[in-house]
Amino acid sequence: MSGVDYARYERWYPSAWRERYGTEFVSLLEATYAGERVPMKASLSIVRAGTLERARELGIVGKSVSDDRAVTGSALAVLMAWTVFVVVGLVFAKYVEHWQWFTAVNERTLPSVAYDVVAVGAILGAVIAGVAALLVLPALLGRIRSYGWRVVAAPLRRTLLVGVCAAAFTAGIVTWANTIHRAGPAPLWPNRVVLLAWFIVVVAAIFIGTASAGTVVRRVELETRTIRRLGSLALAMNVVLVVIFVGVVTFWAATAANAPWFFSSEILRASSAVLHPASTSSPSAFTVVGSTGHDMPIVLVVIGTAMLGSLLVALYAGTRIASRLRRVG
Amino acid sequence: MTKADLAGLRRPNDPPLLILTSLAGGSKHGYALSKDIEAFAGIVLSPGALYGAITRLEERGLIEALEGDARRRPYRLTREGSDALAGALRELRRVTDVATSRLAVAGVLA
Repeated sequence: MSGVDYARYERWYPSAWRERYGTEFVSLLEATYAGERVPMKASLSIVRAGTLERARELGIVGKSVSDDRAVTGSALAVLMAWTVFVVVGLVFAKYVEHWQWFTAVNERTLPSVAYDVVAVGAILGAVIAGVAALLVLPALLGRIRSYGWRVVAAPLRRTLLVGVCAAAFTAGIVTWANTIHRAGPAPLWPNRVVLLAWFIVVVAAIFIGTASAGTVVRRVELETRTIRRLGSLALAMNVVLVVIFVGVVTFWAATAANAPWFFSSEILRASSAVLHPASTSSPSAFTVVGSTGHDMPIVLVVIGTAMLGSLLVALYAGTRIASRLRRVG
Repeated sequence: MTKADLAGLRRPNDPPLLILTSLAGGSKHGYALSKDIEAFAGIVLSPGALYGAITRLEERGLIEALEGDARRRPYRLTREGSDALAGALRELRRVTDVATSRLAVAGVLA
């Protein structure tokens, strides 16, 4: 016995693919690597191919995928991008709260408008996501009535599990962050490691949730009319995501230009001192106004990168929807 | 031969083209394909790339699976696969013919 479990590599692929090619694929791995570990390059190739196969199954990529599946899958990709925006948007809102305290009155107009645009975009996005859920709900309930809960039990369980893990991690981080504020200055690297771990957990939860939603939608068999409406909503969501992204970048740029000290660690600690008067050891909020600050704080860089990445996914999916929407049905 | 027919068959190192070329010599299962391609083209296809290409080629009807044992299923070219390979080779030959004649004029090739 080699001890190397080659079968675990086929788990990167969707179940329909595994059923058709799984056994011979594992046989190929056994013959090629003969008990040795699969090299890193080949492992990454399997991860890439399996992920692509899953995306193809959802309808997100592939020219040969039917128009119905392409529009539904691409709408799910836009929904996934929206979910990323919600998560990082909440972090953004928390990070920049009280920004007005540190910006001169005559320089508040642009960031204020940008902040309001982001808030309105968030509300519009939530409405669009809600309408999309309501569109799918009757078909989903009908399916459950006909075939029972087993139709959705497994993906629902997966989504709940990762959702609860991500929520628990988030709650833990928030509690921990408040403790740090009260404890005063702390070394940066543990914060960054924990933040990175949180980010990975949340992104994994969003991916698994989207894949599960895709599984459910595929089993539900939506009407042509519903698919068209979902496609149109996804296109509207694309516009909202662009508006939110532009709002965030404008806010960041305006604040970096007019009140760079807002992004300095001193000011954030000072802000914390104002919020938590018990920690009076922190400097007054206003003693650091006029200092240089760092206009590329790591949190905003992560937020901006996550938003840009998901926006690109949404725009790709939107293009796919726009090119196929008329051919649905 | 349309552009869609030639998808994945344009460059000599495209996995679908290598697989069709290998199967032109007779039916083979995944491991035999991999070894044959390595022998005639010097290219080691990763398992992900090999089975990604096999999946697409079978989906397009260019290859088909034969009855095999449970763990190794051989594949063979279909009629459409042979036509696609012939079309791809004509495209490649056009380029190589031009390159060959120009290098001959320049005296690089005899």
